Amino acid sequence: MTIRAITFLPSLRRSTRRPPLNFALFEAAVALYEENRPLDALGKVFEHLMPGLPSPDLKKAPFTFTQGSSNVTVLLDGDEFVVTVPLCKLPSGPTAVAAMRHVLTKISGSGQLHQPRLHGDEIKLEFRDSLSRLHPAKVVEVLRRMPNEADQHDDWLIGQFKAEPLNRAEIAPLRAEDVQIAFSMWEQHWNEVEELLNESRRKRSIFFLNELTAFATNRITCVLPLYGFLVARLEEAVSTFNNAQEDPNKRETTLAKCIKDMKAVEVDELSMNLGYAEYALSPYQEGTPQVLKAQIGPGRYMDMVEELFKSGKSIDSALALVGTYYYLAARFSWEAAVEADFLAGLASVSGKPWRETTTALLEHAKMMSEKYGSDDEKDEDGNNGDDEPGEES
Amino acid sequence: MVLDIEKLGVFQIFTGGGTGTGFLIDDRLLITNCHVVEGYRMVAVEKRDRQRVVGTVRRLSPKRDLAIVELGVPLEGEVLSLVTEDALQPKQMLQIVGFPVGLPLSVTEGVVSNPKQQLDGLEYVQTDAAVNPGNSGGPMLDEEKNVVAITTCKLSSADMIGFGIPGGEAKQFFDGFREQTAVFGVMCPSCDVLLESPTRYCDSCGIDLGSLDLARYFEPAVAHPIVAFVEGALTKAAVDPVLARHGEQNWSFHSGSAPIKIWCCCSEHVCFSSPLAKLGKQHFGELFRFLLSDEHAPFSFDLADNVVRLNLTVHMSDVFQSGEHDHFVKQISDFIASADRLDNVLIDKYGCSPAPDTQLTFLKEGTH
Repeated sequence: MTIRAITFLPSLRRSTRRPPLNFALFEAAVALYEENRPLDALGKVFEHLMPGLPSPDLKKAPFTFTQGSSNVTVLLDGDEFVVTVPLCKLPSGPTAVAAMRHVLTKISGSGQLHQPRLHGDEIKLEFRDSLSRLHPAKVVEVLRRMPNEADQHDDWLIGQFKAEPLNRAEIAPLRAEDVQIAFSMWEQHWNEVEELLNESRRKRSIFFLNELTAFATNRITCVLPLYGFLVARLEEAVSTFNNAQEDPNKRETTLAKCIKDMKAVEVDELSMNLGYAEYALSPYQEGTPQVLKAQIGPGRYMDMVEELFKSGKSIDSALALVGTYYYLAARFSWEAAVEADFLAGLASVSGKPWRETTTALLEHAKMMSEKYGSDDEKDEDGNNGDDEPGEES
Repeated sequence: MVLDIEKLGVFQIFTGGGTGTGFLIDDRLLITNCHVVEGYRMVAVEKRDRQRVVGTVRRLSPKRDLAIVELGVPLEGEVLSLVTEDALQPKQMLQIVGFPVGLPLSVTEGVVSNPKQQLDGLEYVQTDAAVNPGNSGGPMLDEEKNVVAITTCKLSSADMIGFGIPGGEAKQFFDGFREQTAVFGVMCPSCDVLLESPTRYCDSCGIDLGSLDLARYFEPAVAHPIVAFVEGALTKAAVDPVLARHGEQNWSFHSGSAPIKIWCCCSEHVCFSSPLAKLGKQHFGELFRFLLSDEHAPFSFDLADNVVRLNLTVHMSDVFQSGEHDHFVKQISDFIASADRLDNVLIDKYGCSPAPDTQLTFLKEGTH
């Protein structure tokens, strides 16, 4: 059966809204560092990265913050600044070797300031450097990359190799009724992705495959507060099926296998992987007027979507627009009004035929771009626009 | 014609700007392209056993894109003769020998498409044989192994259109060099007279050399702060930076048996890495515990394609913080020494085998 429409799934996730980063604070931190005031510089870095929170006094006590499932501890050890994130305790059986190999292959590496270290059976991500060498850029890199790295890998180590959790952060569970809602959305999502995959195989279009794979990961990320081993498994598949550099056949096969795996997840398993994690540092990219305009404002991508629509490929254009909306809603932190408008746009086309969906979202995107977009400055990646959205994961 | 390329006196040349090819015209002199060595008075030339020797740039001809490099020691390899006769014919077979895109010595074959192609007022041998970056300065050989041209460039917007400088012109350049006594010089682009020092106007033909920016051939390339940082540290660690250069902001050399690679992976980091050894067949648990132990900090290990690598990452802020350079000079020296020591440990104690780039002759000479 050919899929006729995409259903809007309301988000059970908490708002992605975070106060914007104040880069004047970062510049002040650099100035303080250059004045040989590394502790004051450190304070400014924390103010910059954690807006609205008081800056920790590391001279008095270590400071711990939560980033997803990871508890991050920062402290002063003499004249050294130390950051530690526990990963896991090695399992006692033969899977310990595989766990360590995973750490050495996937987490250790050149080009990063932090490294995993083994203390007895405990694996921790660590960074240590003298205060005199603690340029704020280094601190920002470590505090942003290291906890996310831990957050990405600890569930895999625990789920795949039976490693033991180590000082993991609490994750607030969903209410029972919300778990049921989440499960129906989960089923709905993967059923629709499966039908879209059939369409992709019929069409044999790289554009459609790109839009489908982005939609497959972004919608579920947008609507459900997922964490845990299920996310780690999903991310492993995403790294192949949402990778435009991979062979298209391999991408389709991986997506098909992923759909099968995800459809086999029962409500109890899903429930164990749902919860509200805390993030001291925003895990989202900052949603700015420039980003919005670059993605859904006038430009090459939206022209292409319109061209597809005009040439009768309304399923392609509709999927592209819905996928882009979910991408923006899932991956960026927006002002509340912008976030609400994105979701309202998606809700307005729920279950509507492809042509109607495209017409409505093209109009809605135009409204969003005019109301909230701007191309005054380049976005964070230095792009002015014309990017093809939906590829990022 | 079957060509035993390994016996040919064709060698890879390394600078801080890139890599190219050069060939022996006697046992201590190489011909290559000017653009291969431009900006450097000292270059590295790699022998078949991967050892490198220093070469001194003696002559440059920017107009004809030719250079002569004198080697510190004689190299083994068949000296090639430059063809002087003007006898090349279209469709005549030729072979290009060199190091395309940094790969080991290789040969490509094609025909002469035009023996006297005119481009920008100069004559070139045009061929359909594959020419790639890294081939520059290498010989184009006829079926008798004579050098009919020196590979110089290709049309990037077209397929199978490569160019070589005619052998006769290279011979003329080399013969001129033989008659001169100057240690270093650049040929005037207008009259081919030898210029031994930078001058605004050519004493012979009066051309405005300033407008041609000829002075840059007399001055060594200004080192980027990253280059100054890394090469300063290498010098302190008794590693000759000239021999270590491997293209732009890229270095590679051996510390005893251990290969060391240095590069900028992004705008934030300078990476030091040494592929030490391949995993063995047993002792994995003990080995992985050793590799993950915090005793190695600030160094760390990782695994890439079954090869154990020792790594060190230096943040760019440290490169530009000159007050801390002594700390990093010591750290980098320690890294280089540790790499030479640790490959032995991995092989002797944990059953690993040498990595593909390990220098086996030095393997047991590290300090355990």
